[in-house]
Amino acid sequence: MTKIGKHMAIYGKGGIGKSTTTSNISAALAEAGYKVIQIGCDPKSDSTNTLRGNHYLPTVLDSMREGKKVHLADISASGYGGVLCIESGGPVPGVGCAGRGINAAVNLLQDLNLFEEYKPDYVLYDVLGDVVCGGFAVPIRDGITDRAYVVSSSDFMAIYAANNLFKAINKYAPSGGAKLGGIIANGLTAGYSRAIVDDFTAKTGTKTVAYVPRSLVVSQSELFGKTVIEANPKSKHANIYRALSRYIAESEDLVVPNPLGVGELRDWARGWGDKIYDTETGVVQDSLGI
Amino acid sequence: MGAFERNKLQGREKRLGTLSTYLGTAHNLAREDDERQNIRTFSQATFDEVIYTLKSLGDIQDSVTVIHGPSGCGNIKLQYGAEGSTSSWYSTNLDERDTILGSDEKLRRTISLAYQNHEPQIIFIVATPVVAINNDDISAVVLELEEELSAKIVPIFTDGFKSKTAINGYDLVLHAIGKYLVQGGDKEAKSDFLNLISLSENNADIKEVLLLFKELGIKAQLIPQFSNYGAIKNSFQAKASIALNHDEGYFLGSGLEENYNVPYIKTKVPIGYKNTEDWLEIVAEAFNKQDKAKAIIGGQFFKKRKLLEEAPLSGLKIYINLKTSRAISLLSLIKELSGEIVGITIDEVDKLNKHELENLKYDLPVHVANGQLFEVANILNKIKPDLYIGESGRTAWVAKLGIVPISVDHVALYGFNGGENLMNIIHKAIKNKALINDIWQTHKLNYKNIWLKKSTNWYIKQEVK
Repeated sequence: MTKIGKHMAIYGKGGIGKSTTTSNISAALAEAGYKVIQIGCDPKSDSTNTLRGNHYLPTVLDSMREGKKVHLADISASGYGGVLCIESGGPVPGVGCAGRGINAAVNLLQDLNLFEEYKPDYVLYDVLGDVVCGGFAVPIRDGITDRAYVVSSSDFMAIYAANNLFKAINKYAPSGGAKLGGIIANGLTAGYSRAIVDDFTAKTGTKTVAYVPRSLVVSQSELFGKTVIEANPKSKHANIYRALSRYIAESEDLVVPNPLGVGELRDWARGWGDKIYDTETGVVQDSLGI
Repeated sequence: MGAFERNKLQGREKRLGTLSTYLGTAHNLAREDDERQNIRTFSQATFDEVIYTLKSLGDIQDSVTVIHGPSGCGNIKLQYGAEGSTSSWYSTNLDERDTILGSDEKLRRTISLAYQNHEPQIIFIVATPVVAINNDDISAVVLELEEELSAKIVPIFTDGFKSKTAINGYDLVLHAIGKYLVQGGDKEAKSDFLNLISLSENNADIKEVLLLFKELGIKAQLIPQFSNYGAIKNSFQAKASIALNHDEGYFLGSGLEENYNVPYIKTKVPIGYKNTEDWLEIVAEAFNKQDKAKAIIGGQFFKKRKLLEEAPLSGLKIYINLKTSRAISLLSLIKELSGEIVGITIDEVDKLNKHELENLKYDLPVHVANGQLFEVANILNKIKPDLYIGESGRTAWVAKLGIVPISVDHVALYGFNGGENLMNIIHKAIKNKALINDIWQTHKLNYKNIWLKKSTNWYIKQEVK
């Protein structure tokens, strides 16, 4: 199947910063001269906010709900650097099925010949967190994207969500689903954060493709309704995102991860819990090598 | 993108602008806006793509069908089994637990069981709305089991609700067949045979056509109905393909042309003298057998002239309710036999056949509906034809209106004997008019007078965009 542009999905636990990361990658790719589409696959429909200065954009499902024929122009907006922004949206909270919503939105975009008409270089799907059901796995199934990245901090729940995504990739990759590009470690604070993420990737046969430390610049840009690339183009973080986008644009290093079992993951976490406790309380092990 | 390459097929409405609801005339069809579909605000019964899919898989030799859904989704197989469908079928019998925890394990078990019991060459998996709504995965199971079992496993992604037209089920089957079963090596290596694509034709019609091919000296291989894995697999080697009913078989025909350079010959359904003659000539041309075709047509001359001179249907007002292309071709035969057609009800209209109705020399009331007998009753009650031609399941009740019904689903209408065969059953039915009158007097129609007096398009509205 010939596909127009590179299609990738970016997953991560809710609130972990995947929309921020995705939007900054899109902005950096656009800045480098590429044609980019960013599709938010989250019922909250706030994935592309910082690309469009927080303006209102009707979601695909909003338009569908009205029962009218949906036109591409009604559900898309051109954001920073010409990034085409689309939000799949979801049903009214408390009713319907968000997973099906994502499926329907993705199908509709294909029916509208979005990719044939827009001819993008990159398409980024920003997908909500845990792979909670078949619907949220749609972007990594049936060849819709061929690669997925996962945004994670060193918090256990974020890693747990990443591990869940690995399970889904492991299941779908053999039948034409996406493979994993790697983990984008985000919002790292403590000194041991990086070591935790690295240890997890080593255990699962994957790798970390970028380390994004927690920063005021990111929060501040977001409050202004902009990406870091747009608001603080000269900042260190802007360069981190540029490097990440370059990596994502060029890398073909994709793997099928080996997710940890539930018990395995719990033991692994406990092991790190002990290590951190020892570090914080100053337990000296193995005579400190003296 | 190639016809067979897409993982999933768009609905027929999107591909061919299929119209399932319409009341008007043949010539006015041109004015219908493809963008604004007509909708029915009340529907008596609707066939869906799962039903048509199962119908078309019922007679593929050495195949087993696994219906992946709750057991009710396979109900129709009981009817098809009673009608003589030969292939075995299984249901994954999904229950509430499976809809929550995922259904792949049950699918795996059912396929393995079907394989153990039958060792078929092909296992078809027919998806159902439950699987589609849950976004349950089928592909991973197929891939895994294909390595284990020495059978081709063919998933058919019937959602059951995205397309509103049942004939979409045939497209889905042909797409899956093209994608998973037709396996080409050398695209250019062609043998001297023809693919005869058939999905729903009855045995009698197929027999007539096969006899014509025999007379022409063309080797015809039937796919997929009544065929087997070998015939389907090798269909890419054919010198040409032809569909007995273009509406139903076009997807495989044009797919083989696009992917394997097998020319697809588009023809009308060969019902009626003129249509059969045209059909013979077109087919013969592809195989350089024009002389033989001429001889066959010549041989029919006196028989044809006799029947045309008798004008056996003159003075009769006839209403037709059949599948679209079959109905359109039958119009021509009825005209040849001097009958007067007062209207037709057809299942759907789309890009494949719309022009044939628009280009009719005479205008004609056209009603597009599949399964909406209440509307048909309304029409018949208003125009009171002498004769109603339909298929079983949508025919006998017409007697309650005092109209003579005949059912043609087991009659050979195709070929040069179609006229005689049709006249035989019409004669038989008319001879028994007393029975019809008796039914008319003693049986009440299921629909109330208040409905019969309303305009037929009472429930047909145009979608607001």
